[in-house]
Amino acid sequence: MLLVRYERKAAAAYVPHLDVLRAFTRIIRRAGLPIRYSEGYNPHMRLYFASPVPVGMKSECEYCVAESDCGADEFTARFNAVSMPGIRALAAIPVSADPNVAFIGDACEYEMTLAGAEKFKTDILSIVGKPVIITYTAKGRDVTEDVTDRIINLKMTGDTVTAILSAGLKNLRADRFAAHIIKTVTGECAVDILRKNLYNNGRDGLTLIDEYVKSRFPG
Amino acid sequence: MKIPDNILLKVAKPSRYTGGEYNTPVIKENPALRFAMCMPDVYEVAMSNLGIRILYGMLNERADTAAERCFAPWPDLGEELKANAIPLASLETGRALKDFDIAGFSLQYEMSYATVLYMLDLAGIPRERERRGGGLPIIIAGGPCTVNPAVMSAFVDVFSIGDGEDSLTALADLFIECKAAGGDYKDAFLRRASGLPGMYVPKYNYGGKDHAVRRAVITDLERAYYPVKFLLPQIEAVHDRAVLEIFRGCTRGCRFCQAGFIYRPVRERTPGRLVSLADGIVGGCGYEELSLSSLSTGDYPRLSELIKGLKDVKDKYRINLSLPSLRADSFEAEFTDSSRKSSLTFAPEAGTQRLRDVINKNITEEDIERSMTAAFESGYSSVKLYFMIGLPTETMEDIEGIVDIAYKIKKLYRAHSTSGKALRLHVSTSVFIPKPFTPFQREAQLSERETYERQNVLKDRLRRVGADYAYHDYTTSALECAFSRGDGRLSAVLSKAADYGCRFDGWTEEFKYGEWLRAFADCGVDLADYTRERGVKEPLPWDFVDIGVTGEYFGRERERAFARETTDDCRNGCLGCGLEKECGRVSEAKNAVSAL
Repeated sequence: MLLVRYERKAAAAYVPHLDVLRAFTRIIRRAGLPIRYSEGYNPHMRLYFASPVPVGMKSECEYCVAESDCGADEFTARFNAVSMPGIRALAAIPVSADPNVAFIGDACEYEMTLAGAEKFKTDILSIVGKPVIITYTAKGRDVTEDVTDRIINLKMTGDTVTAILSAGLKNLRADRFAAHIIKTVTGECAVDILRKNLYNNGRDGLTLIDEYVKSRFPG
Repeated sequence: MKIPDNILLKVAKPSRYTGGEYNTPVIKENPALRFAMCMPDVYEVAMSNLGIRILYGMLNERADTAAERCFAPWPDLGEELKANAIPLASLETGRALKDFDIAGFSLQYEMSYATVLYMLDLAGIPRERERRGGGLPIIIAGGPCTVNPAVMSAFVDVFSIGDGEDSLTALADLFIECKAAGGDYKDAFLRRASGLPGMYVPKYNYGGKDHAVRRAVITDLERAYYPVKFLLPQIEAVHDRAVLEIFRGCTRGCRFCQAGFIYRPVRERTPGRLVSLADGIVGGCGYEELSLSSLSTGDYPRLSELIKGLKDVKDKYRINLSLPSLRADSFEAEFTDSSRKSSLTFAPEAGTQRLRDVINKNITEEDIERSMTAAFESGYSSVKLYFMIGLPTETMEDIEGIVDIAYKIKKLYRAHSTSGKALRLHVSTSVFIPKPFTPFQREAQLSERETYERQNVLKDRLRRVGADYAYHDYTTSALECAFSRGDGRLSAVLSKAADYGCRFDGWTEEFKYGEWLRAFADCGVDLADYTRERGVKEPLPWDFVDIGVTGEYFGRERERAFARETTDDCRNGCLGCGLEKECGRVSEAKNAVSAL
C-alpha cells in the first residue's frame, strides 16, 4: 500500500474533487500500474483520498492511498510520465495500512500572496492573539464563526503570508482567512493561495504528515 | 487572453474554461492556418461530440495547421466577459476567436443556432457575413443541420455539407494556397471554395436546381482518420468514455429519421481496425468505459466477432464495455452474464403495428416480447421505452397502443422476472418533427392543442399502469420544426431572438419561449407557417442541396407510407434511392480493404 503525495496546480486546481478522483483512475490505467480492485459487478480501483482542497486553490500536499504493490519510486515515475497537466506525484510512501490522512492531518500550512500586503505586515501579524471572527457565505447562508484558536502560526515574507491553520474537524479555509485579511487590513487586492504542507499537530508539536506516517505506519 | 483567476472563481464549473486537458496537442506557433473548432453549446456537451474530435485531431496532425477549441460560455461567464470586455477566446492558448483564420461551427441541432450568434457577439465578430470585413475569420459550419442551410446562410460564409474528413482537408489546402497568394485572398478563397465537393458558399452559389450542392461522401471509412488521443475533459462530459464509430449510415429507412437518409450509404470499419483503435484509445486515455457508436449497432454484420475482440481489450484494462441493449437476445449469453444488468432501452416509436408500418419502423410486438422475456430472464429490472407522438396518420388508437405496450411489459415482467426487484418502467415521448430529406419532410407538425391532449391522456393512463412518463415540451419542438424546415426569413427572427437574449435554447432553464414569440411577431413571421403541411408541388428551401437520395425516392416512400406499405432494409436489395454510384464506390473500397 502506498501513500501518494501529489501536487495540484495550474488548470488542475480548478478541477473538482470527484473529477480528480476519476482522473487518477485514468492516469493509473494509462500507466498500467498494478492496483487492487473492489469486488462485485462494478469493480473500482482501491484508492482513498484525503479531504479535498477547495476549487481554485493550488496545493503541494494532496494525499491519496493506493492499494498497489508497486515500488514507491517506480510508482511516481510511471504515474508522472502519463499524468495530466497540473497533477504530479511528489512522493510515494509505503505504508502498512491506510493512515487516514483526513483524520491525522489537523494543521495545514498555506502560502497566501496578497498583492501589496508587505506594507501592512505589522497589522497582519498582529491578527494572532486577538479574537478573529470571520464571516462568509456557505450554501446561500451567511455564517459568522470565531476562528481565533484555529490560527496556529503566522509569518510574512514580502507580500506572502505563511499561515499554519487548523485543518480536519476544526478546519479554517485559507481562502476565508485571506478574505478576512483583505476585509480588515489590506483592502481589495489580488490573492494567490498555495497549500504547502500538511501536519499532525500532536503533543510533540507539528510533524509533517510524511514523517508522521513513516514512523507510525511503516510499510 | 486566458480568463483571469478572479473571474474563474466567480463562475460555476470553472474547469470548463481553463483548458489543460490531457492529450491536448502542442499548438503550433506559426501555422499557415489557424482553425477554431467551435461548438455552440457548453463544454460538457461539446467535449462529447465525436465529429469535433475527429476533425480537431485531423487538422492538428497537419504540419501547416493549428486547431483550437472554442465553446459557448455558460451565461454566468458570458456576463463576466461582457462586463470585463474580454473577447471570447480559445481554450488552448486563449487566442481571441476573431484572430483565427477560420472559425468552424458544428451545427448538431437547430436549437443551438441562437448560441452561434451569442458566441459571435461575445467574440466581437459581426453576425451577418456581409458585415464582416477582411480582417475577420471566415465562418464555416458543418454537422447535420447544414443539409438545410437556408436559415444560417445570412451568417455563415461556407457550409460543409456531408462527411468532413476529405472536404475539410480540401478546404484547408485551398485556404492555405489562397492565403499564400496574398492580396484580397479571402474573397478568392470563397469563390473557389464554392466549387469544392460538399461546400455551399452563399455568396457564390445561388441555390436553385442548377447550382445544386452535392453532399460530400467518404467511401473508405476503414482508412479514414480516426483519433486515438482523445482529449480528456476536465470535468465529466455528457458522454465521457472511449467511443468507437463502428459504421456510418443506416439502411433501415425509417421514414421519420433524417439521419437514416443524410448519412447514407452504410460504410463500415472492420473488427480488426476497431479492436486496434479500442486498444489505442483506452491505453492512451485510460477510460473506464468503452462504447460503440452508430445509428443501429445491432445491424453491424460482424458484431459478435467485434465483441469477442473487444472482450480482450476489456480484460486487459479492466474496463466496462457498454453495448446497446436493443437486441439483448442476440448477445452471447457468456458475455451478458458477466456484465451488470442495467437498464434496457427500446424505441418502438409508435404504439400500434399500423403506425409502425407507416413510419417503416420494422419492430414487431413479437420482437419486443421476445427481447423483453430474454432480458427479464437474465435479470434486467429496468426498461426505458421511447415513442413519438404526432406521427403522420396518428389517432387516439395509436396513443392507447403506447399504454398497451407498457401494460404488456408489466405482465411479462411478472411472468419472467428473475431479479426480485420491482420493475422500473419509463415511457418517454417526443413530439414528431418533420425534417428535410425524409419522406415526411412535407408533413404538418401536431398542433399545440392536440399535443397537450395526447400528453394528458398518456399522463393519466400511464400513471394507472404504474409507468413513469416523461415528455418533450411542445414549444421547443415547434421551434425545432420551424428552424429545421426554415427559409431565409427566419434569419431575421433568429437575430432578433438573439437580441432578446435567447441562447442555450436546448437547456430548459435557459429557454425563453416568450422572447422567441416576440421575435417572430416583430419580424412579421408566423410560426404556424413553418409547422404546416407543405404541398407536393411547393418548392422547399433545401431543394438546391443534393444529399444523394432523390426527391422522387422520397415521394415514392411517402406514398408507400400512406398506403401502409413497409420498405425493406436496402441491404437486402437496392431500392434505387439515388446513391447507387456511392454505394458502388463503397463496395470497391471494401473489397480493396479485404484484399490487403
